[in-house]
Amino acid sequence: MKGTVSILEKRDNRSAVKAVVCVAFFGLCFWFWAFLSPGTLRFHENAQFFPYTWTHLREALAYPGGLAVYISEFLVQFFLYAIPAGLVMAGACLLLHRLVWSLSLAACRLDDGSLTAYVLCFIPAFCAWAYMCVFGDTFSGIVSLCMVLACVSIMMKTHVPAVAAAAVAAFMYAAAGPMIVIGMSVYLTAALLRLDRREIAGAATGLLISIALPFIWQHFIQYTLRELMFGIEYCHQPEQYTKAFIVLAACAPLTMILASAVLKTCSRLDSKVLKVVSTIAAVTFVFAGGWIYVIRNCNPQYERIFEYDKMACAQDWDGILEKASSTPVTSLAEGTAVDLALAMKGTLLKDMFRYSQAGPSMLIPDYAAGYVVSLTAGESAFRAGLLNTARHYAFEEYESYPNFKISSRFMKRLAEIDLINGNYEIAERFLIELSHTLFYRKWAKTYLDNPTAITSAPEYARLAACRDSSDYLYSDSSDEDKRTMLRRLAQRSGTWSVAHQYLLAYDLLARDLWSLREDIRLCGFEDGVPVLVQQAVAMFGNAFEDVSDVEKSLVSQEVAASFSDFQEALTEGRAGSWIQSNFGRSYWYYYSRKN
Amino acid sequence: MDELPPIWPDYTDVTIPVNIAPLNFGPAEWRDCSKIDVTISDESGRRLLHSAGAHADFPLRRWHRILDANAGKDLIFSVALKSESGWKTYKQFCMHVSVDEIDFGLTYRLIPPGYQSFGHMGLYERELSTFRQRTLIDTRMVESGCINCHTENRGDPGTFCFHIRGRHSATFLHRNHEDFCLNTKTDSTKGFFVYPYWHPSGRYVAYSTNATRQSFYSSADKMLEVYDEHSDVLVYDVEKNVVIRPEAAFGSEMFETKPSFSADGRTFYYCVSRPGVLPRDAKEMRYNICSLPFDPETGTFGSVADTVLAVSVYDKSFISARPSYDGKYLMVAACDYGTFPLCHEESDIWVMNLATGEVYDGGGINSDRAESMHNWSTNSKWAVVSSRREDGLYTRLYLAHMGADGVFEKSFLLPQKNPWTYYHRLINSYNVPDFTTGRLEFDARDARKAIVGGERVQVLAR
Repeated sequence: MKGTVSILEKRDNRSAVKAVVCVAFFGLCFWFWAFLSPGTLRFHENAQFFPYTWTHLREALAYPGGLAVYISEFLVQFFLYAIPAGLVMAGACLLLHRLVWSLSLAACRLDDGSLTAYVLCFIPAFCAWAYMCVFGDTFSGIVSLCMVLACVSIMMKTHVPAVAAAAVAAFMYAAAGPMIVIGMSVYLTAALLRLDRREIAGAATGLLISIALPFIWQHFIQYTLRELMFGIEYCHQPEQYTKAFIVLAACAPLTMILASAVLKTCSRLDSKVLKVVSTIAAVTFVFAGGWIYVIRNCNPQYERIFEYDKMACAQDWDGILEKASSTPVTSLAEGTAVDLALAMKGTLLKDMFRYSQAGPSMLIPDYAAGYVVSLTAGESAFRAGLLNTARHYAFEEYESYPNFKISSRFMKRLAEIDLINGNYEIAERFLIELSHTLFYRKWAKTYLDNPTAITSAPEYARLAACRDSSDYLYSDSSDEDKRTMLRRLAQRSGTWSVAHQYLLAYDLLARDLWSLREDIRLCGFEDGVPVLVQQAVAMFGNAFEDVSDVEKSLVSQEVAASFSDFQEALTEGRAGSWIQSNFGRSYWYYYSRKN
Repeated sequence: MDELPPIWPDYTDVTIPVNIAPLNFGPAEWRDCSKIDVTISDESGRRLLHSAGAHADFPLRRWHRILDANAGKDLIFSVALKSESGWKTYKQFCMHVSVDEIDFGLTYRLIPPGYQSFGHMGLYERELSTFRQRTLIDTRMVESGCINCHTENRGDPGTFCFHIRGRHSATFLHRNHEDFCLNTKTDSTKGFFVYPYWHPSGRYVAYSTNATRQSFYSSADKMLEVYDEHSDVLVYDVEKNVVIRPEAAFGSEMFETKPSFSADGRTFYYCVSRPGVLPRDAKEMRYNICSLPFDPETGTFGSVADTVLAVSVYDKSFISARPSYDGKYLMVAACDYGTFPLCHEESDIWVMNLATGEVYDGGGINSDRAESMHNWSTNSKWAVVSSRREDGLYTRLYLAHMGADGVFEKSFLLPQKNPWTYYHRLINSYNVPDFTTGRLEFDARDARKAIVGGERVQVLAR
């Protein structure tokens, strides 16, 4: 203890400890976002379109807080990749901590202060971290807060008069939005703590102006008063402000008051031991409490879906199956990605029942299941070759973000589908837009400069080969129509394909042996009859009276024997657990268990 | 020199109103051509205006002075395009400046062309003599509601209505300087009012009630089919707040939709098809144009319907009868089947001469791709149409002059300051355009209060 006290006493060592705490926070935050929860941040990137055009900047500057949104969008584009996403998030949270710390010091007219206060100033950083875990909150809330706190920090250093404070408030309202009210509250608090009349007058004027501005702006802009008062783009859903947002906004002034009080107390404190104890207590309270708060705000279900979605987009089929093997699939969206991965690996009709299956809707869920589910559903429809269904899903995703933003990712998918469908004039529109972005530019330019490049991309060429040119009218929420579309797709595909696997899997999952019997005739099995199909055909004898020799020949002796064992087990009334352990991955088990 | 310049938009040999905004244009092949040089001369060869650059950008005031001075005459355009191989001069082309003025502006909806979901959409007003566009109301103002079918009474900026769907569902009606939000769903009507058309007196509005659904095509070239599972037509008496139902049409098994009134207000037009089971029979649904006598004094219909345009004669489905305000013509969209011609590439505008009964293709207003959602200017000399001619998906507005022979002359794309950038970057479609004779009497904040406020006038069934 004595050694620790002497280390913390010296100013140089105190700086070193602060640096260690900072690095620890940065590392923890980076690790969380880059490795534990990158999907949540990636979804933010998926839900925006950020072109480098004057028009986009001009549009952003046209409403209060637009500059903060613009900066936020610029940074969010890096969320497409986990490492830059982690760096940006950790950097932003650390910046918030540095700003609150510097304001706390300035409020007490100090150059440096106790470690306890320093650690307490991590509270807003943890709040920002937790805020980003909440589905629906946007990064622009953090950017706005950083902007206004930086502005207040400069104001406190320059001792601005009331008139200038009013002008700054007006400017910052336009640039960062109503978060300036928080900034001016911080400024007023600091001025009161410093007992500086000039600053108090300036801060009070700034605060009043900040509060009054929404009432003035509402006459010139279409946003509601509530949006003008609480922020237009801080949350995805207009006017739906989350608890995490309120906590983030409130924590900056409250932390500053707390830190200032601690700074003043610690400066009067003689007991070195007490200082050490308070520092350790602060570290424990802030880091442990902060971590718990972050975890409580996480949505592991969504994170898992986002991760599956990311792997599906990257065509990382092995990654999907590896993850599904290590952690059981718990949602429709995850199951869709797993079935897609199996189909792309060519093992859907062999390994499907290694993973949890929830019926045919798992192959290509309805869009009505929600836009998070549709992330993998759209991917599945696209890879299976149901291009118009994929276009429908992509368009709905592209259009359905509640904050009226459009999505680069789905703009790319729409362009892909239009290119494959030969609708270059429509695709060109999306390609031009995407050519103004950072991460989609290269891809867009390829097809913008050379529309025929689509033929040399194997995946696109595969999908183009099975394009439908007939006028069949279908509903993609109808089970029967889905099957019909898969049937048509399988007919066009000719050779064994993803569509064939989906079609037979659809019949199997629907427990529709009659349709399966029809559909088997469409399929020319290249590498032998898949084992799950054999298992289903083995059941034909129980279901139909007229099983042909050709159908019988599809079932291997091994499968036939196994089916006899299964039937015997049922007849003998074997325990469910025994049947599951011996036949749990068979079609018979799926068919009998849920029928 | 003997080929016309490849320019976009294609403004070669079009007839334009004397008060239209500058028809700026650029090279059609933007990849190959870096510059354009345009000189405008009058019929005597006198050079009037010159523009050069990435696209021709004519100054607004000088353009209008030139149009005023050349009303009824031709303007001659000399165009040269610069490509890698150097400058190339093309054959001159004309724009004929019609003395027929066009109305003050257009109102329309901008919406992404898609399926069920919509992000940002809105109703807008565009001044036709300038490039100015005003947002009337958008989704954000009504908390994500869908806004549609803005319709004025013969371009009267003080009499109009539109619908809001979603959380704050209503039919917004503005008349005699007052706003009303109507709840148009009644026990006897099958749904909310849609597809409005004003009676010339301003007292009545014709509507239909439709159970609209959509299905998808498997083809890469077609996206979807929109159809009604059932529909009816009716008239709303604004003064008495009651629904008037034409006995000959309402409630029958037939599918009636998209009504309108004749120029004198004494004939009620509507589209009618035999019933079917949808979507199974979607391709069999063909709509006739029928009419019923209407007495505006008593608000009563005649009992015998007359078939104006018959499916059996033309083997087409006719949608949206739009009688010209001078009473001479009837403009309709004609497609192979269905009630939503926008989805049909073959859809064209047809014209019926009401004096002679002659029916013919609209001519220059049409293209190889879908045309629909047509309307007349208040002097019945111009028409606006939504067309998918550019790329097959994004509808754009085209204006066309009605020639003395009753056939539309070559239509031209609604001008923009920088048309290439504007239209190629616009990922919204224009729909339901209507002319307006002045700036709309519309205060977005008042409208928002009325819509979000929740107070609704319940429409009564008679």
